[in-house]
Amino acid sequence: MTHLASIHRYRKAVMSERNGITLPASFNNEASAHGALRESILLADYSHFGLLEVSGEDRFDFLDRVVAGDLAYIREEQALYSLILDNEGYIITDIYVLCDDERYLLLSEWFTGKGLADLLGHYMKSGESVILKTRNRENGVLLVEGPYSWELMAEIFGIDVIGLPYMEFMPVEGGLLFRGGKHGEFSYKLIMEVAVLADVWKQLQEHGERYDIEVSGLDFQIAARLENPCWNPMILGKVTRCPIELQMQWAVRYDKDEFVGRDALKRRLEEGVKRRVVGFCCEESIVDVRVGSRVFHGDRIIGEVAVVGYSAFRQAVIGQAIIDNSYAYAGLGGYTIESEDEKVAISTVPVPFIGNFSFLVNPSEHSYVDPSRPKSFLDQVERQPAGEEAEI
Amino acid sequence: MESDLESTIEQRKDVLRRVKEGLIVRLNLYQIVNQIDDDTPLFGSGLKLDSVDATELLVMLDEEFGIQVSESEDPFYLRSVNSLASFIISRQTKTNKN
Repeated sequence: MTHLASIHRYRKAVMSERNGITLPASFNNEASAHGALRESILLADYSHFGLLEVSGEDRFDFLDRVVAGDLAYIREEQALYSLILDNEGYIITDIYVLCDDERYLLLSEWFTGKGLADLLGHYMKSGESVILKTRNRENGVLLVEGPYSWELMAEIFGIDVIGLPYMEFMPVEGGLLFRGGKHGEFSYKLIMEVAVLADVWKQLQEHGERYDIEVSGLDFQIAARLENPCWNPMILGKVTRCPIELQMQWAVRYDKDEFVGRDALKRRLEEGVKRRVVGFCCEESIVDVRVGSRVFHGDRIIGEVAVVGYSAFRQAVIGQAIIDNSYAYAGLGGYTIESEDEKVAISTVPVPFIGNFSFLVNPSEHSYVDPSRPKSFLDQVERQPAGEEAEI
Repeated sequence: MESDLESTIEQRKDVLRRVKEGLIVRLNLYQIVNQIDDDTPLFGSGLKLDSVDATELLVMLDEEFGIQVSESEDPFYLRSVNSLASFIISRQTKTNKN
């Protein structure tokens, strides 16, 4: 159970289990939560995230051998997003690795801290000086995400938040503030001591009111991840766990001397994969396309749908399909997907599917709450006197 | 495969290859072409480009593809290798029509 269970019950949350933890799935506000994620701020309890501290003299060599990304890339107060692969080069989980003084902190949304410790324990060599300690009893995680989340964070935790680069973190009273997310917006994870978690949650809600903050359960991820796809073992992971087929090789560092699954993955890359995951957009907005529906070019079956849904921001039915390699390119028309009645025309498109609003917001120039400053570059252009060009 | 589709795919493959080779050479990336997926994000955790690299990208668009980008251009063409390729193909198509 999440440490914030009583607060969520008071708000009549619909609870569900994720990663062995019972926490809110929904507050029956999916549409407004999605709007807040894309236009203001969303707050969610992310206590399902597994937290594992890795310390000891050999912590770097050990972790660098297990994680597919390059641990040498990060210094203190920096973080790395990467994958843990099995010996055959297939994804077991994605992971954030935070480099802290004398320790690494691992965050995974698909494993508990104990589950991560069990997984990593398999790769430890005898005599290696590594200590694994779960942090889920002591800490909870909150998500604050959206184009103006930086402004709320700065209001509560100080102006330094504004200068915090992507994939870096800073200490705050009672925990850590980490900037990094998966949905294309400004995103912060607060990794807080249990003793202060409820107070911080209330503080975020109170201060967040003027930012039109929406409290959300984890169900917001369904629409968010349809538009900004990311690793999900329960969706794309059911179709393939291969980083090449998933177009996730960017999370792998091939030129490292060694990491679990490296040789198998390199072999597969040299041999070439037979299919790849590609984004698609249906040409009609009301269609009955489902996961598993077959994708055609003419009468030839070239793939199947891996995930599909309606995007309010794109105002279209979008999804990803796993398609034969020779057909698996964006920017193509002429493919169809079978539906209940007839075949539906699609175009293949680059992912992510939407232009995230956070791209148009600059913390040093814009504001959600200060009327003297423009809200975004779009607002800045509108406010510009005729004949002058805004600097973008 | 129909010849129209085949030529569209060949055009895209050519642009993708030139974009990836350009990125590798100009930004000193460690990867080889087939280690960069089409949907790889250019910034953030993907290829980890920064604002200096973005300027080099604009130079690459000009020198390699003859495309000049104005400040008013929608910045989303810089999201991924694929979105950059789509932008280039769209510009090439417009130029050919004119």
